[in-house]
Amino acid sequence: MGTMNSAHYAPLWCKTHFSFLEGASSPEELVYEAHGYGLSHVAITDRDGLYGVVAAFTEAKRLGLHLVVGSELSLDDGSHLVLLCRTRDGYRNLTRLITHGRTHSPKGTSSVSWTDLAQHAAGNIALWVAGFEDYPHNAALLADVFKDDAFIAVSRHRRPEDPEREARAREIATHYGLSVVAAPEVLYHHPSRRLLQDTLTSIRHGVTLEAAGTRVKPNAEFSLASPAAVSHLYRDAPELLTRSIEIAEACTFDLSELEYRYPSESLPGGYTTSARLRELSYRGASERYTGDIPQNVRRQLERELSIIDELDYCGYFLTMWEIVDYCRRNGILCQGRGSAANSVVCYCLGITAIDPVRMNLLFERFISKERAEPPDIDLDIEHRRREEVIQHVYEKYGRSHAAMVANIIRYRLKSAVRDVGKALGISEVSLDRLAKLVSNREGNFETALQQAGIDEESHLSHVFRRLVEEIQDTPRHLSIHPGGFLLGSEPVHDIVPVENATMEDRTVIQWDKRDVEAMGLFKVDLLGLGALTHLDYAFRLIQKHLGTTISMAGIPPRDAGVFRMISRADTVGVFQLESRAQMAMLPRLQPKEFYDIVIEVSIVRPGPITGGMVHPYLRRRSGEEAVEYPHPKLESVLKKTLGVPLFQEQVMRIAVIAADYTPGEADQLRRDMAAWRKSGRIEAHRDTLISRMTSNGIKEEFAERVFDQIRGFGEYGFPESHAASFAFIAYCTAWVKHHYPAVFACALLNAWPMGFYAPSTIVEDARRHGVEVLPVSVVESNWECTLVPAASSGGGDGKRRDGRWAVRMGLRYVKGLGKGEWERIASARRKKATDLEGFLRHARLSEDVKQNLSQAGAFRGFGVDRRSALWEASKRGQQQHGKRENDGWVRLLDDAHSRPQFARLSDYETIAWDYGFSYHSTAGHPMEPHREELAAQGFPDARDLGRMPDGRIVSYVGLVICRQRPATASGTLFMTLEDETGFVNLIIWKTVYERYRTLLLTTPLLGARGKLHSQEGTLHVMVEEMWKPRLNHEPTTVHSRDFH
Amino acid sequence: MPRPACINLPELPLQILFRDKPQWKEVPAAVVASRRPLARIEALNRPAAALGIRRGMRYATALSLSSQLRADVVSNEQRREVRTHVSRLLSGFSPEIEACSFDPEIFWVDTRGLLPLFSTRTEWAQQLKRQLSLEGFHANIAVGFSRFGTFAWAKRRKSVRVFETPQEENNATVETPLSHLPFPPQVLELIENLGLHTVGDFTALPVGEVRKRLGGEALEIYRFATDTENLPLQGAAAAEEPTVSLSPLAPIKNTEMLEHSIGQLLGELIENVSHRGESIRELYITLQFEGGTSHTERITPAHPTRNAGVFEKLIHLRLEHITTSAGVTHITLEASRVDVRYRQEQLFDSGANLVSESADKALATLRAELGNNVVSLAELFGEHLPEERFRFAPCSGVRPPRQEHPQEPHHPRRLVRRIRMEPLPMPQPAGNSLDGPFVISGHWWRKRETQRAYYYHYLPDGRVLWIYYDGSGKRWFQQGSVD
Repeated sequence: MGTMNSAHYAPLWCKTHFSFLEGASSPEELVYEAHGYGLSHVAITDRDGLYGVVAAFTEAKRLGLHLVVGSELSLDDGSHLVLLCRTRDGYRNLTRLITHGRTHSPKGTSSVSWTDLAQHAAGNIALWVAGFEDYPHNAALLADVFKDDAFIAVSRHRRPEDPEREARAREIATHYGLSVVAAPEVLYHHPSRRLLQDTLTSIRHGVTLEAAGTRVKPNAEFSLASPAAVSHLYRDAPELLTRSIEIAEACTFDLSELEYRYPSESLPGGYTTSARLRELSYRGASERYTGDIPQNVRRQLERELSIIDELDYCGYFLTMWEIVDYCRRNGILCQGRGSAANSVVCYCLGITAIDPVRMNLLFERFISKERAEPPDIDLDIEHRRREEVIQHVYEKYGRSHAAMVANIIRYRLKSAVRDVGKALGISEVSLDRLAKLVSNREGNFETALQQAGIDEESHLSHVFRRLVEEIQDTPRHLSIHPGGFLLGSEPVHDIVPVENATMEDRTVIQWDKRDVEAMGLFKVDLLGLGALTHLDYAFRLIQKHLGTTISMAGIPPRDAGVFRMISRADTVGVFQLESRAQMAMLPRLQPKEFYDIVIEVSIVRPGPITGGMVHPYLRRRSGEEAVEYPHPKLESVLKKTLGVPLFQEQVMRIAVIAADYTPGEADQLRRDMAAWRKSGRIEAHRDTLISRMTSNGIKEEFAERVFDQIRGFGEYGFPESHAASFAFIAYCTAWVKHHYPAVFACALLNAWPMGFYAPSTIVEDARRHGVEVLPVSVVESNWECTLVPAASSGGGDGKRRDGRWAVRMGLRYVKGLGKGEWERIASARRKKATDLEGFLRHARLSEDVKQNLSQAGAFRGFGVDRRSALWEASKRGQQQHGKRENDGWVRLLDDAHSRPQFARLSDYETIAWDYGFSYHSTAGHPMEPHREELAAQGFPDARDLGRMPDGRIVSYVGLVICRQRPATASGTLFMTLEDETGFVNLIIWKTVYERYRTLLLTTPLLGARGKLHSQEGTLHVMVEEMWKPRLNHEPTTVHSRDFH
Repeated sequence: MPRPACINLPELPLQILFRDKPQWKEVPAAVVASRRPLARIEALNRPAAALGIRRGMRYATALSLSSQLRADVVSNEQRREVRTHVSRLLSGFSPEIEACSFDPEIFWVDTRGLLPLFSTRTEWAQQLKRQLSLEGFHANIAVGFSRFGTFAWAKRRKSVRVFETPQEENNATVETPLSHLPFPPQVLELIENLGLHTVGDFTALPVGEVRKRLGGEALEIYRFATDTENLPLQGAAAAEEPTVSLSPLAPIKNTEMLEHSIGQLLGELIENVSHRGESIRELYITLQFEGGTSHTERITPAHPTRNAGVFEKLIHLRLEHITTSAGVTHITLEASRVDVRYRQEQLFDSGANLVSESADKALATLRAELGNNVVSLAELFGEHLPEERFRFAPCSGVRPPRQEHPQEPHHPRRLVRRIRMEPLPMPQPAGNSLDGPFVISGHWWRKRETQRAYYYHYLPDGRVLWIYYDGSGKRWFQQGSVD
C-alpha cells in the first residue's frame, strides 16, 4: 500500500442523504467539505446502494479529489459491512451483490448472506462496521475471504460505550488475524445538520423525536471532521489513521472506467448497424417524400447519418426504430417528442412526425459532436397500451439487459411540513391544515403557522421552520421514472445496481435520469399519452363505421375549417388547446397555420408568461407594435417569433450570440434550466448573462426579461421541436373534432380519464355541436361508448362527416359498475329476457349496482320508469337464491298491490339522477330546469352574455366546472362556469377571493357580478361580488376539475 | 288510555360540548369523532354551518373552510353520564321512564296520574322543559297518545306540544318528514328516491314489501309507526356498572361492623354480577363519613372473580389499617366487571400455571394490605440519559425472569456503572483525575437542550465515579459509580 498522505486520514464510511432517511447531507456537500479540509480521498458508502456515487463523482472530478466508491451492506445476521471498490471487478461484484440483496428482499429493504458476500468479494476491501460484537466467529470467514483486505472499523464518536466496543473490536481482530482501521461513521458534512439527521431517523422509524430514544444518535459527533480533529480523537492510535489512507489509496477504481456499450441489434444479412440505419432512413425518406427526396433533405440526412455513425449512436436509433416498428405492427399509436423532432433521421424512421427540414429545426439541439453526449428520444405511446411496449422491451433485450431509470422522490414543502411536524410531535390536525395552507400558497409560512394554531414565536416553531427549510430536496424514497429505460449490451446490473419496482414485472436502476446522462449512458423514454389513445380510438371508429382509413400522417395539414374552429376557441377535448388559459388566448392569436399552433402551445406556459413575452408577441402579431430586435445579431434567432423569444432553443442561442456563452456554458445553462428544482443554479447565470448582454449593446430591460424567461423555463418551458410535436397531435385531434364530432366525443369518452374536462362537459360540448347523445341502457349500451345510427341522419350543421351517427353512452359511466358486472349484463342480454324481473334474475347484480342502474335510467329499455325500476331493483335476495322470501308472517301480510305507484321524476330530478349515477346527462344540462327561474330574476345565460358589449357590469349564474389558481397568478383564482349554452370565465382577484373564499370553495352553483371583458372573441367577467343563488331546488352538483 | 310524553334532546353531543365550553356557543364549533384530520364532524352549531361546514364532513376539510372552527370530542363516557343524569332528572317528573333503545337523544315518560301535581299536562311539560334548561339542556317535548306520535313531533318541532286527541296526534304524525326517523342513511336515501317523503307516504307501502325491499330496520320503523298496541314503558336504564349501597341506621365506627356491612353488600353485588354472567375485576368501596367527607378504596384481586371470600380477605387487609373517628353514614360498592368467559378462556391458556397464579395472589394480598402502588417493577427504556433508561411502574402480575445468553468464551468481564436515581450535584473535580469526555447531547426540540460531557473520575482511594458536566446549567454532577 501507498505512503502516508499529508491529509492524515481518509473518511471511509460516509453516508449521504441517499442512505434514505439516514444521511443528512448531499454527496456534493460531503465531497466539497472533504475538499475544503484538504483531504485527497473520500469514500461514499450509502446503505445498500450506489444512488449517490454519480453526483459525488461529478463533484469530486470537478474539485480534483479521488472518490472511493463503496456501499454499506446489510447482512442477514444484522451485521453491517462497508465494501470499498479497489478495481473495476470489485465494482462489478458490488453492483451484483447489491442487486442480489435488493431483488431478493422486500421492496425498500436489502440483505445479503455471508455466503453471498464471499462470492462477490474479489476486488473489494471490507470494513466490518457493526455486528462484530454479536457474531465474532464470522471474523474467520471475513479473514478467509478478503485476506489482507478485511478490517474491523474503529469508530470513535465520544459515546460512553465507545471504549468497550473498541476493546472488543481489537480483541476480535487480534484473535482472527484481522487489522483495525479508523473509520468514524459520517452522516453529515457539518455538525449543524445533526438536527436534520435526528429528524430523518425519527421519520424512518415512524416515531416522534420525543419517543425516538436510542434510535437517534446520542450526540453531534457524526460529522465529517477536519484532519486536526480526527488526529486528536485518535491521538493514541495514529496508525489507524495511516491505515485509512492506505486503504483509500488502494481503491484506484474510478467511475470513468465504466465502459458502456449500447446493445447491438441482431442485424439481417451481415449488415453493420451503420448500413442498416442508412438503409432504413432512406427507405423511410422515400415513403415520407413519396419517392422524391428533396436535395436539402438528402444533405441533412447525410450530415446526420455521418455524425450518428461517428459518435457510434447507430444502435440507439435502430432500437428506437424497432420499438416504433413494434408499435406500428401491433396497432399502437406512438410519436417521438422533445428534441428528437429536430432530426430528419428520426422523421424518416417514423419516430417523429415533424419534418425538421421544412420546420427549419436545428439538429444540434438534438446531437452535437461538441457535447458528445447521448441523444435523448422520448416516445409518446397511447397510454392504455404503454405497458405492452414496456414488456416488449424487457422481452427483447432480456431482463438483465434492460431496467427502468429511477426517479428520486424528494421532500417538497408540503411533505416536509407533514413529516417534520409529525417527528416534532405537532398534532395531526394542525399539520394537515398547515400542509394545505402552504401547498395552496395562501400567505406566507408564518401566517400559515398561525392559522394552523402553532405559536410562531415558540421554540418548537423555530426548529420546525428551520427543519422544513433544511429537509427540502432531501431524497425520501426511490420511485420509478415514468418511462425511462436503460439498455446495455452488458447486463445492466454490472453498471449500476438494480432493484425491484413496486409494480410487478418491473425493475429499476439506482440512478436517476441526471445520473444516467452524466455517465453518458443511453436512455430510452417510453411515455404514456392519453391524446394518442383518443386518436387511436377515433381512427378505429371512423374505420369501423365510415369505412375510411385515417392516420395522423394522412390528415390534411392546412384545413381552414379546423383553424377557424380553433380560432374561436371551440376546443373542448383538443389536446393542449383545451385549457381555460389556452381558450382565452386562441381568439387573440387566431391561428391560421400549423406554426401558429406551435406558438400557441408554447406561449401559454409559465416561461413566456413570467418572462413577460406574451403581450409583446400578440401586439407585434396584430401589427400594433413594430417588430424589432434587441441586437441585429439576434434577428436570425428571433425572426420566426417576431423578435420575442418563446422557445428554449432561442434562449440558449441568445446566450451564445448576445451574451458570448461558449457552447459548454450554453449547455450548462440548458442543464441548469432542466434542474429547475435546484434553486440557485439558474440564479448563478444571472449576473453573467445580463452584464454580457448589456456590454454587447442590448438594453438592460430586455436582458432582465430574457433572464426571467430562462428562470420561467426552468419550471415548464418548451423547446420548439417539442412544441411542434405536441402541436401536431393538437392539430390532429382538432381535425377529428371538426369533421367527426360524434367520433371525437365517443373516442374521448372512451379514453377518459384524460384531459381537462369531466365527462358531463364533453357530452354537453358534443350536444352543442349537434351530436345526438343517447343515454345508458342495459339493452342497448356496451361497456364503452359506441356509435349508433342517429335518429335523424345528417345531424348537426350538415357538414359533419359522421352526421348519420349518434353516441350511445357506455355502461362504464354508470356509477359503481365494474367490468365483471358488465359481463353479467352482456350474458343476461344474450338470454333475451323480456322484462326487468327476468333480466335481473339472469344478471345477478349487486344491490348497489341494480339501484345505480335504475337511477341512471338504464332500465328504460324494459319500459319501466326509474322509480318503478328502483323499487323492483330493491328487492333483496331474489337473484341469489331464485326463490321467494320464506317468511311466513311477511307472506301473510303481503298484498296484491306489491308495486305501488310512485310520483314521476321531475325534469330537475331526471338530470340530477343522471349526474348522480352516470356523471353526465343526455336529458339536459343541470342549469336547464332553472333557466326560467333565473331569467325571471334577470340573469342571462352564457350565450346572451357573449352578445353583451365590453365593459358592461353584468350578473351571471352558472355551475362551477373548473377552478385554477396557478403559481404565476399571484393569488388570482380563475374559474369557469357553465350553463346549457356555454362557458363563462371568471377572474377573481386575490382580495375578492379572500372575501368570498368559503363560498368559492364550497358552492357548486355561483352567482357573480362584475365587469365584462369581451375582446377579440374572449369573454371574462372581472368579479366584484359573488353570492349563492336562491333557487327552488338545490342545484345538481357537477364534478369540478380543480388545479392548484 | 296511556299518555306518554317524548323528550328529545336534539344535538345532544353539541349540548354536552356547550355545557363544558359555553364560550364556544357563539363561535363556529363542532363535535368531532376524534382529534384526527380524517375524523368526521358529528354535530355543529349555526355559526359553523354558515361557513359551509356540514355534518359528516372531515375535520380537516372543515378546518380548510374556517381556521376559526373550534372542535372537540364528546366521549361515550360523557354521553352515558349525561343520559344517566337526565334519567335521574326525569324521575322527578314521572315514575315511569323509558330510554329509547335506538336514539340516545330520546326518552319517554308516562304522564298518567301527574295532573294533581301539575294541574295540566302543558304545565307539566313546561316545568320539565324549564328544569332541563336550568341544567343546561334544550329539549323538545310532546305529550300525546303513542310513542311514535310523540316521537315524531318531538323530533320535528322545537316546542312543547300536548295533543288533546289521538286524531290530532295522527294528523301531525303523517306529515312528519322521514328524515326525522332513524333509518340507516342508505335506506332513507332509497325511500326518498322513490319519491316518499313523509310518514304517511311510508306507511302506505305494503308491509310485506317493506322488509323485502327496505330491510329489517325499515320494517321495525314501519311497525313502530303503525303500532297500535302501545306497550307500557319499559322503565329507565342506561346500562351502568352494578352498584349497591346502604345507609346504616346509625353511623358505623367499628371496623368489624363495617366489614360485616360491606360483606352483606358484597353478596348482593356478586349476585347481581353473576346474573349477568360476569366477574368483578375491581371493586370500589366508597365510604361517606359524618360531616360529609368521603373516601374510596380500590380493591383489585389477582384475577377477575366472583368469589366473595377472596374479596373479604382483601377488604379485611385494607380496612384494618384505616382508622377514623368519624362514623360511616353511607357505603357504596361499585364493581368494574369483565365477561366471565375471559376467565374461562384463561383456563386453556398454556401459560397459566399454579406458580404464577400463587404469586399473583400474593401480590394482590400485598396491594390490599399496603396500598395499590406498593409493588413496582423497573422497566427499561431505550434512552440516552442514564436516569431515563429505567422507570419504576406499578406491577400487576409476576413475569418470569429473562434468561441471560451465556457469555461468549472470550468476552471480557463487563464494568458495571451503578446509576443514581437522581444525579447528585458535586464540585468541579481535579482535571488530572478525569478520563473523557464522552458526550450526550440532544433534546434540541425541547426548550432546554441536553449537553452533558461525561468523565470517569478516578478518586485517590481507588473508586471510580461516573460524573458529568452539564453544559446547559454549567454545573457538575455525579451520575453514579463504576464497579
